[in-house]
Amino acid sequence: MNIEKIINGTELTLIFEGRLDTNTSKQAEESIKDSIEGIQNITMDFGKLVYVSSAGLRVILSVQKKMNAVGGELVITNVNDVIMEVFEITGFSDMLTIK
Amino acid sequence: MITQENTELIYRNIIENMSDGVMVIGFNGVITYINEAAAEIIGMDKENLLNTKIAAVFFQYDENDALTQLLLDSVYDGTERNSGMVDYFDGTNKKKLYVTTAYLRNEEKEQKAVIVLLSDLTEIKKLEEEKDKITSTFGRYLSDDIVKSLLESPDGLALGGKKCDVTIMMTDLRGFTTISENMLPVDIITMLNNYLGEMVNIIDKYEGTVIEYIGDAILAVFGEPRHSACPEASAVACAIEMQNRMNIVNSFNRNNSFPPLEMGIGINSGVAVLGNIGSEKCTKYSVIGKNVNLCSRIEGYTVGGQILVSQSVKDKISVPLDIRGEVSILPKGIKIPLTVYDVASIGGDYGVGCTDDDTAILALVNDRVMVNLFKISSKHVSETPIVAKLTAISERRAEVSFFGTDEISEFSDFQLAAVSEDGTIVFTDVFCKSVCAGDGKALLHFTAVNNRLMKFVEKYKKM
Repeated sequence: MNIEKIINGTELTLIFEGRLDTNTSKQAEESIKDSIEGIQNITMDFGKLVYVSSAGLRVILSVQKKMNAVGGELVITNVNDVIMEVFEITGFSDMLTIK
Repeated sequence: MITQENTELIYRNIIENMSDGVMVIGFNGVITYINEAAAEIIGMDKENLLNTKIAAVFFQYDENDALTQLLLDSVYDGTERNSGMVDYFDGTNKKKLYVTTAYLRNEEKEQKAVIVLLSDLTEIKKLEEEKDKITSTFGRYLSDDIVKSLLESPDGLALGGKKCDVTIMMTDLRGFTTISENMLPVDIITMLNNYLGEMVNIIDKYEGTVIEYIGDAILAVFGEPRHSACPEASAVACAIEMQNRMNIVNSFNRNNSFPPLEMGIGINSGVAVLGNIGSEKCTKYSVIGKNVNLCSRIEGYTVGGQILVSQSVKDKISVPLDIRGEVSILPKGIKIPLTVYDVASIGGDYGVGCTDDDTAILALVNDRVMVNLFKISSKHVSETPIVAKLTAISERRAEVSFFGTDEISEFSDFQLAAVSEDGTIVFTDVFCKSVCAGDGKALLHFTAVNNRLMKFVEKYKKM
């Protein structure tokens, strides 16, 4: 899985490509941890993401917690239909800011 | 009578009272229905779970990833059911659950729900693990074949045995009691366990079954419970390999400053009773019969490094056998002398021969050294020795010549003490078995040696 990072001041945009499963979730967590210093808002672009596993959901949730702690926000964009259904059935669609 | 009206009531009752958990997750991940059993499995009150988001219940701990993945899989896979054994952690207890999820989607895709079925298999899994542990522990104390035949056949555990044709092998470490007398208990066990481990591996390779250890002796059978084409040949090939392996065993002993070991093996075949002997309270899997006793007697005649087999064993082997010698024995309880054979190698498909030469070259002893031979009968050492002159010696054997008409019998055990011409004690506390006697001479094979003897031997080897 690929994660493209774009930093604009205190805004971090992460463009995901591929699958966010048990293995790649760890990779994602590490990658975000490296860049999170001084970041206020994160945008996760799921346009090229085809699959999210339960481990992936936990990573998303933990990133949101971190942003809330600094008074910032996590926004998820370009979610495809299947992943949207996953967000709905797990109740994540209510907990996350999805645009 | 089931009518349309009471159908719903009946089904609702069934689900309410089931021992398996049922949960329905509706729109936006909210638990819209949950039965008593599911609440109990999850470990929370039914009232607290109803209308709660599953994200709050199941996404806290990463132990529950496999469970939540099943929910996601039901969405990704659409109409298929997804099931699996998963771990569940409620913050305090860990459980093993069998979970099935099914995604319900109506035609307009407006109403969606996931049905979740939960079965708590924690207790069953625990019992399975305990059963495995017991079986493997059992397998450490009895060989796998015995465990298998005890547990898997319908009358496996019943008392009583069956009469069958088997080949019996008895091994013994020469002079073990004496050797171990000066060793620490922990060292004795280490040395013994290493030796037994090596030997049992070989017995297993040749489809033999270890019945029991009797101190440092091994009693094994071939032919039952594991079948082999020719158990007699398997036993002989096994014995030869075991003797050859003693080099490795003694190498281990040297590295750990343990004394060297020598093993004698006796093999006999014939009818014996194999089975569960004793009572319900105390049972032993064993082999009994006169052929087992005879095997033990035959083994008693061996010296270190030797394999003696009975006539019945020799007769059953069709592949070439290299026989070093024949010995006529009259064991206790037998009326006519029996011939047993000293086997060195076996051919054919078995193709294994003794690598160790038993007869090391004896160095001549020109000095006048007298040997006192104290005969040992029924573990009792005689007080009056027979005195002989030491004529030749090696690390393993000694040659003596007697005075006048003195003589000793073959296959007798002796304790030795040697004295030089000036009365100095050369060595004591050495044990041996006479392997050859006649014409005023005898060849003695050492069964227990010590450093003093070895120093003495070194002196004459250098000459």
